[in-house]
Amino acid sequence: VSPRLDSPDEVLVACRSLARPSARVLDAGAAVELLSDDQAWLVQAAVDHVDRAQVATCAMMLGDEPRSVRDPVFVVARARAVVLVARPDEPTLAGVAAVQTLSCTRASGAVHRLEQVAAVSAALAVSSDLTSTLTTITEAFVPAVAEGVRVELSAEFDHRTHATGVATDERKRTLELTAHGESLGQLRLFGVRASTDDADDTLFVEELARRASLAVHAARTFRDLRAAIDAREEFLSVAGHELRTPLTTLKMCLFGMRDTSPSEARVAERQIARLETVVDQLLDITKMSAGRLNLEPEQVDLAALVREVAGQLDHAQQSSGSEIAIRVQGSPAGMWDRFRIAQVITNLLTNALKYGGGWPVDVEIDDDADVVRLSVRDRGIGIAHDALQRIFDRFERAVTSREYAGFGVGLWICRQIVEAHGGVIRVESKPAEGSEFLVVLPKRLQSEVA
Amino acid sequence: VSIVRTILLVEDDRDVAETLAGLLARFDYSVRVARDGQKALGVLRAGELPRLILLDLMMPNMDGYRFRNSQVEDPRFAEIPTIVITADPRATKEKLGVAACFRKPFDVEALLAEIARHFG
Repeated sequence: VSPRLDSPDEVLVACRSLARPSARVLDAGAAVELLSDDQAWLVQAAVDHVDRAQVATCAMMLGDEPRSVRDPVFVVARARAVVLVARPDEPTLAGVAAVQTLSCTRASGAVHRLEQVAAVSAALAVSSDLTSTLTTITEAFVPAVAEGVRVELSAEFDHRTHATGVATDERKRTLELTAHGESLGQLRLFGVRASTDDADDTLFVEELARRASLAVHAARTFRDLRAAIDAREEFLSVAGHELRTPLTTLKMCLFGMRDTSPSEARVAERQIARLETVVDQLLDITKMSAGRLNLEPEQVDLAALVREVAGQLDHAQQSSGSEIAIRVQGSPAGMWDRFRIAQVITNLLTNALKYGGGWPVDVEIDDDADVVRLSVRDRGIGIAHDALQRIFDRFERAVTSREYAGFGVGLWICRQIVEAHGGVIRVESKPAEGSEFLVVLPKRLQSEVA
Repeated sequence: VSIVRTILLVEDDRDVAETLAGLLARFDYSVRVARDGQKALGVLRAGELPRLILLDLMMPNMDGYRFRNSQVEDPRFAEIPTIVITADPRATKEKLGVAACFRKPFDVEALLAEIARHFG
């Protein structure tokens, strides 16, 4: 399990583990008082874009010795790497590629120039085109370096030029661009003045090279991840289509056999219904496990939707002997994903009919200020106390699979959907008395409110 | 077989198309199958106008969405009732502006009932 940096505290801890032993990493609050100190650097860790609600700012106190720009830069870069490892998802990558945050309270020459480059790095953002990335970086370097210096950036590292080092006609420096152990190319500086030996400038040039490497690496990683996500989406879509199409044919064939072999056709139809459920769940699990539940909110009348779903379950009502009674208070409606909410209702109603023991199923829908409540209550077998905690987990069920067919993921899927809408789902139940599932949905998605 | 019970079935999957056409024939419908949107438009433009169109969405050459656009743009075909049959769980009749939308694998009885409604 990869570490998750979900809170500023965790970020602080991560940054601390990355800093030199001689450096002290403090939280932002504690840092403010120290900012007048010559040795204090305010480092806005690269994680501040991971989640806007959790801006992680921490301050770093450098130790006495080497007062180089490397320390804060190093910490930021490493923090970024940690974040990438911890949360290699699309928004994080886009953010990491886009944001180069390094704010230093002291504006010595070198640091100032670093910030110039940082601004340009932001332009690299989510560029997946490596050639244009390199071009952008090259252009960015020209104004950033001292006058009279030419910069050349290439995607391949040439060991010969590196070995030659300083040429006779022009003074040159060659720096290899590497990120995470991978060689990305080289950066050559021509006409470097004699004072290159000046520690500040050397650090600066090296830092430029390092930033170029990181930018190229981030762009490349982002591109790869993007491609992987697209490939998976494509796969899911094709898989869904390819699995459902043969089931369609089989269903029609069986329908045609109802007259000639009714009992076999009935069994086969039941098996196909099972396969349908499994296919849907399999695809949903794949999507939801990867945290990619793309909601398509629209105005939904919950009472109408519940009636629609109950209508589709006519057959199940008849065969279970349970009848669904719907009671509505107010006009419960909201901005939700109709398809997904219908899935939740279908699941809860199907369960209630399945485990309802033939007794009526009561559905209550209440309109309550900012939220809508949906309650589905059966009077059936109920759920054992120790099972209540885990029925919303994946591959869990309160009864054995021998007794009731299914994948054991229906309620897990419901929870994912409800939570993606910013709502909650819970259950109350007593064995032999029945179960009540309660869903509370905010009328508007959080993302829309913001 | 009454010649007015005509259906144009636009479906690229051969087995689905053949089975559905066979099933519909048993219920006295006269079914013409087109394997993609392009061919379906060809049938319509040749003047063979069905009473109902059964339309798949994911098809090569011209998919169901594009077919639907061309269909509604032409006043000769725009009013022909259309029922979508698709494996895309996100498709709805509202989004597509069609009479009904059935998700594959659909309930055969429900589809037959909906089709019958248009010949009532």
